[in-house]
Amino acid sequence: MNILIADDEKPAREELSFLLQDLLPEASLTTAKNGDDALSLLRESDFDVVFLDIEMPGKDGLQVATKILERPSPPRIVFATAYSEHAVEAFRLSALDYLVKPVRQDRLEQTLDKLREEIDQRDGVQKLLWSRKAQKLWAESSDERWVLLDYEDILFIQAQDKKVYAGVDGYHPLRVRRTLKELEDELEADGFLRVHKGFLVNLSKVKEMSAWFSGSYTLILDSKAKSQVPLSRRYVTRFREATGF
Amino acid sequence: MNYLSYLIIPLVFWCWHLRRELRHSRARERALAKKLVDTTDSLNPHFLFNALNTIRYFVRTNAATARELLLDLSLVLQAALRSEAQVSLRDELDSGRAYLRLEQARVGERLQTEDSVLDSQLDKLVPSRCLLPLLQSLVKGLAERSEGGTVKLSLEGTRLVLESSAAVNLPDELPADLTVTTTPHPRIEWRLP
Repeated sequence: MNILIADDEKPAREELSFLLQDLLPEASLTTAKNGDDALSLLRESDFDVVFLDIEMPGKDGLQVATKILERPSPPRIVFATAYSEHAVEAFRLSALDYLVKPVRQDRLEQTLDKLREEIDQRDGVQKLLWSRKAQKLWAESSDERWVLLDYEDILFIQAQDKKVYAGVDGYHPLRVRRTLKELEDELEADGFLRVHKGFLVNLSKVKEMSAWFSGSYTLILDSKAKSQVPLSRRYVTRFREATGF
Repeated sequence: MNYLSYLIIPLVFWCWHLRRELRHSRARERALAKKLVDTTDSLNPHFLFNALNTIRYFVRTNAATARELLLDLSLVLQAALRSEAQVSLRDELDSGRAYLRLEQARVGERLQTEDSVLDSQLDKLVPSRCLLPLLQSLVKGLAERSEGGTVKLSLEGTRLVLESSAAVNLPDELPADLTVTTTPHPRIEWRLP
């Protein structure tokens, strides 16, 4: 589980980290010193849950939450505050929970139970249903626009530096917040095939194939940019079977 | 019959005594409740719970600091719960300084303090519970800025001067013996009696 903690006060930040790490030894914890830090960390990587202090200099927790919720499939939000006067506003923002500092460990455990339940439900069932039915995928461009891609418009999927991108005509590679393995399983039924350690290709877009070296090939795709995707030796047999080569 | 009255009369007195006791203890409870309400007026609840949260952290990481901060918190609470109308400036400043130390432990380097008031200048009697609300307003103004700032305490003649490098939102009703200027930076002068 990826957890982000945003609080401007070091003791508060460290104390919550300590409690969470104790309850979830396997979780990866990241801390932010203020709202803007939190937002830029959220742009960098995926989090399952964000613990937000409400009283922070600059953007306060409620403003940060509003920003977070503008994103597609946002992380769950838990507010932590020293005094419960923002509870109504917090629930208006559909926060998962609202904690009053100092936080009791057994209270925090309840929050985590709720969180697990939501993650299971939302990620497991809803995300799958939606993508099966709609055959669409959210992707993010470098200028923070979100693009809804049809499977059939995707040329290839590429993993690079632990990030995953979709290649689509007319765009620079678009960031997709899924793993290559997830997408391989999900897109298989729609004619996508693994052709390289870091590539899936949309078979219906493959136009030409040329020999590269030592048994590997280059696939040239039917796109304006004539995108190329490597076909490594390991995947050649599967590719042949799939395309009747 | 006579024997019965020996039993009944003390019983009646005892009941009366009990009722009186109960009334008194209720009155005491009410007085205490009122004082707690007054206290939360002069003491920001955020401060109190943040302080407890901060101390909890230091209990785990630095017990000596935690012990110091607990003493500071009790100084602040003593000052806030004080029933006397007047206290020595020394007591008032002690609790004010304890308050600032607690806030420093919480927000770290963002809160700097400069304190040039000397101990020899502190025997005056002043109205109690004046300093804390002012300091809280100054610290709140600083903590709202990412870069923080400095709170200065000094004594100029018979005036206690509080200054801050960040904007301040002061309580609506200020006593007449306070003079507030906001430029170039917030400055509060308290004319001591």
